[in-house]
Order: sequence, then structure tokens, then C-alpha cells
Amino acid sequence: MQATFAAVAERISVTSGVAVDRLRPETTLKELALDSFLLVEMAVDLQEEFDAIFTQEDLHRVSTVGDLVELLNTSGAADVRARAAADHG
Amino acid sequence: MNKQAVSENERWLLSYYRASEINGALFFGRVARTVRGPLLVDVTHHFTDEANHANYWTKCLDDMDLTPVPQNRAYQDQYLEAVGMPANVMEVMAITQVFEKRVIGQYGRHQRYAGTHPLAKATIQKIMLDERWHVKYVRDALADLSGKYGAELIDTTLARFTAADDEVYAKTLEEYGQRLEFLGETTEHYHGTETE
Ligand SMILES: [Fe+2]
Ligand SMILES: [Fe+2]
Repeated sequence: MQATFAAVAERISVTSGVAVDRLRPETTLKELALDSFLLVEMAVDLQEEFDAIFTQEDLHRVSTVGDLVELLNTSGAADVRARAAADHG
Repeated sequence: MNKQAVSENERWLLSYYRASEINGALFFGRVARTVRGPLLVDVTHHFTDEANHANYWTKCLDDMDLTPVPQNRAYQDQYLEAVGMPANVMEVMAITQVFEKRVIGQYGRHQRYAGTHPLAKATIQKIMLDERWHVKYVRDALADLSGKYGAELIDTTLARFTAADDEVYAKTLEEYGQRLEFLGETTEHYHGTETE
């Protein structure tokens, strides 16, 4: 499923409790002031919703909501599996 | 009530278990808020088990007329710091698998020690039934998740977390090894992960 900004912002609002109209693509995750486990909850929720797989390195690179949308659109589960298999072999 | 004396080290260890079970419950409470599908039922059950274990240890100490010895950081805090916060559901399950095996190994050793206080032994026996189920359902969950994540990624993740856990355990022993020597083994025996 294509992750649009609106759909991602909606999910982030549900897990973080931050009002959806406060979210912009350039909003940083720091501004949301989430504790580290709330970040895990949000990341897991988004992956489940959009059938993606994030790695710890991916999450370290993410700084804004817009980055998250982009990550969701480049981390499809099938792609990540194929990359892991290639790395392993 | 059982009047057998409890050594200061065993009191400390039971308090350590209690703190660790509380942390386990807090961790799984957060996980239970997020997971979906068939895991939701098992993870929520797991959360309540860990909270019950904290309750059992608190009651066990109370039945011995003891209060818990204050603990600073629980094992899980250091372990999570070493492996990093999980990035996805598979990593949550892999972190859990490695940790639950560590728990079973430790409770098993304590249970086998002949001098263990009868109330502590009974508490461990009760908890072990749940801990064995934790290892089993997490193993099954990881097998199910291999469809989405691929077996290779799961294997390398488990290997990475096992290495981190070994390191944290070695550090814990450096810090608290003397507390555990009453179990009748040298700290050398504690290295490596026991599975059952
Ligand atoms: Fe437990
Ligand atoms: Fe457990």
C-alpha cells in the first residue's frame, strides 16, 4: 500500500496522541517529544499498517515525518527480504 | 509461614528477580499496545504473566517477613541499551527469545541449588511454568514471522542479540558475582545461554 502523508500522519496521531493538524512533512520526531518506547510503538504500528520492515539503521536516519513517509515507501517487506537474502548469500 | 532463615544474598537475588519481572511487565505492556493479529493475545497474556511474577516475588519476600532490597537498573535496561531499541516486531520477539532463555537458565540454577529457601523454590516452580510457555510461543512467533522477514534476517538478528546478552551477563557478573556465589557455583558457570 502506498503511504501518503495524510495516511501516515493519521496513524502517528493515533499512536502518539499528537493532533493530526500539528503534523507537517517537516515536523521533526524530536518536536513530538516521544519517549523512546513510544517511538518503537509508532514505528511498529506504521510497519504493520503499510507492510514495511524498518531496521535500526533506518530509524537512526529518520528525522522528520516526511522522512518516515519516504522510508515506508522504500521499505516494502518483499524488498527488505530480498536484500537480506542477497547479503546473506 | 516458613521460618527458615534467608541469607542476605538470597534476599538480594529475590529482590533482583522482582525488579526484573516488573521491567518485563512494563516492556510487554508497551508491546501489547502495538502488536496486531494473532500475537495480540499471546503478548497480552505475556504482559500479565510478568506482572504476576513480580507479584509472586513481592509476596514471597513478604511471607519471609522481608522487604525487597532497592535495585538500581534492571538487567533489561542494560540489555536494551546494548542491543538498541527494537525497530520492528521481529526484533521485539528476538530480544524476548534471548532474554527468556536467560531467565529460564537463571531460575533453573536457583531451583537446583539445595539450600534454596522452600518459599523461593515454590515461587520459581510456579513461575517456570509460565517462562517455558514464553520461550515456546516466542519461538513459534518467530517461525511465523519468517514469512515476512525471511529466515536469514531472523537468524542474524538472534545471533546479534545473543552476543549482546552474553556481554551484558558477563558485566552483571563482574558487578554482582559475589551475590550469586551462594548458589554453590563459581561465576564461570554462568557464562553462555542455557536453553532449558
Ligand atoms: Fe517472568
Ligand atoms: Fe518471561
